[in-house]
Amino acid sequence: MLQIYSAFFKMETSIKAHYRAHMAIWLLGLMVEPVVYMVVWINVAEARGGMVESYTASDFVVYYLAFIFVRQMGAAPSPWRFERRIQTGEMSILLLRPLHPVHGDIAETTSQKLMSLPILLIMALALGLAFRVTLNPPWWAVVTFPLAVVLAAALRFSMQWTLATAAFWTTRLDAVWQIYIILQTFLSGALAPLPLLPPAIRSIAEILPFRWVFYFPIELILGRLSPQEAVRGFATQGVWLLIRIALMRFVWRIGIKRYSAVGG
Amino acid sequence: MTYVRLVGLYFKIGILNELQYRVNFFVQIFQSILSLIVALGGLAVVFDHTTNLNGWTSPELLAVVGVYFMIGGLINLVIQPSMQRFMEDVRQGTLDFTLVKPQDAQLLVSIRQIQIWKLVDVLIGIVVLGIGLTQVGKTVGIEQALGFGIALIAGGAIVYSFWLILATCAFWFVRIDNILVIFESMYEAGRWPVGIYPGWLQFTLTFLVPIAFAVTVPAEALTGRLTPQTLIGALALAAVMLTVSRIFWRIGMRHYSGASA
Repeated sequence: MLQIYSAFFKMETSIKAHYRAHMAIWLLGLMVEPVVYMVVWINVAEARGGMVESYTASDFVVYYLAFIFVRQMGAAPSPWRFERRIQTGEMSILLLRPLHPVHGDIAETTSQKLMSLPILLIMALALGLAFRVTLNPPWWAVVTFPLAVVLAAALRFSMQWTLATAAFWTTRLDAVWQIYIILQTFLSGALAPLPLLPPAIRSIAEILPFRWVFYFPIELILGRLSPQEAVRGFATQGVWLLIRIALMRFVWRIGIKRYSAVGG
Repeated sequence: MTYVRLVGLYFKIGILNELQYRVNFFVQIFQSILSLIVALGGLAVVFDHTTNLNGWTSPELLAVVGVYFMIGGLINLVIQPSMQRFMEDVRQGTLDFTLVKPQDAQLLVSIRQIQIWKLVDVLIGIVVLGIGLTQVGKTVGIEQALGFGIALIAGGAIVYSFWLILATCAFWFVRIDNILVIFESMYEAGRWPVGIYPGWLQFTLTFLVPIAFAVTVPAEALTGRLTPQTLIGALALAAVMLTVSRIFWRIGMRHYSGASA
């Protein structure tokens, strides 16, 4: 398995290396949305004399910088690829290989993250300097932060892969996908840190898994969690991940039976 | 007069073309509603915590969202699809077919492709703008309406020139669709008045990617914030950008040598 993954990594890295400028521009584009919300909340904080709930203006800066980082590190392939594989029959080739197609996707997304990491760190650093932020989380939060990010990435990957599998049943994934993205915007802490949301939406956010994808790792690195809360958070992330992997396998198994090749 | 007829003709072809794909109409409605939900949801959450954002009240910001949808709809209706088609034509060499037509090539490439369903966004924008304005309570006088109209035209001209300049770069760098992705995501920043952004970002959004003139300035006109200086500035910039983009287009054309055929 290790050998297979290292081969995948080598391949993906050399493919991606061709598109470095493309990647930088794409990252820059992805930053706009969080930066906009950051600025909006800074304005609100200033209008209210420096604070919204427990967030100061500079907390919002750190919050959204962390958001950019966590989101990018957790980026999972979007379902379009999967849809195209089915439409073009590329899926048949993948199925012929003696390896579950999910491994190729995991390797691809991981290598992409590793390659975008330096660009991302430079951009985050530049933004951090431009907005003059300070960050001092407790040591244990810094140590466990990577784990939270990896779990968040796995959560997102398994969810999106399951969604993508819906392409076995329908060729119009757009609608499902867009609703998923909107739910994520409202319930993950992208629009605003969760305590700032109206109580009704907040209680929904507590139940659904979206908050464990962005909000939890961000709060962790911001040093806003007690050790107990952090432990509970990791446990919840783990439980959700198990549920999702089970779901992913289940949907894949029944989906693959429906698949009849197109083209070749 | 020929130009007006020509524009009308291309619109007709565009509409006929898209009428073949009627399901897209419902897809578009669905998408527009979802992005409206995000925009309004964002406003609602923000105004849950404050009554004004950098001097703008919530109905005024609703009006900004309206203008944002309107202009975004117009850009996606004709400017963006035409420019994308143009760049594709340069890449494939099919621009030759446009060039042999006995009309101004810049005009032709600017109205080539029309995504008619984007009118849904324009309509939503007008409705949201109307609701926002009635909630503001102040009546919109002739002066404001006129200012709005002029600002809208100036903003449209600036955005068009901006796109044309970027697209013209395709004559030298064949693949630049990437840069356009930046415009798309930057445009999102226009949902809020640019005054809220820090100085460097305001500068970017005003002069590098001219979203401020497209959305904020017209909205300022309607809410009685527009100074005559800004309006004159917008008009002057529009004139300069139109001229520069025209000159740049001419230079670009001289570089075009066809790609195949």
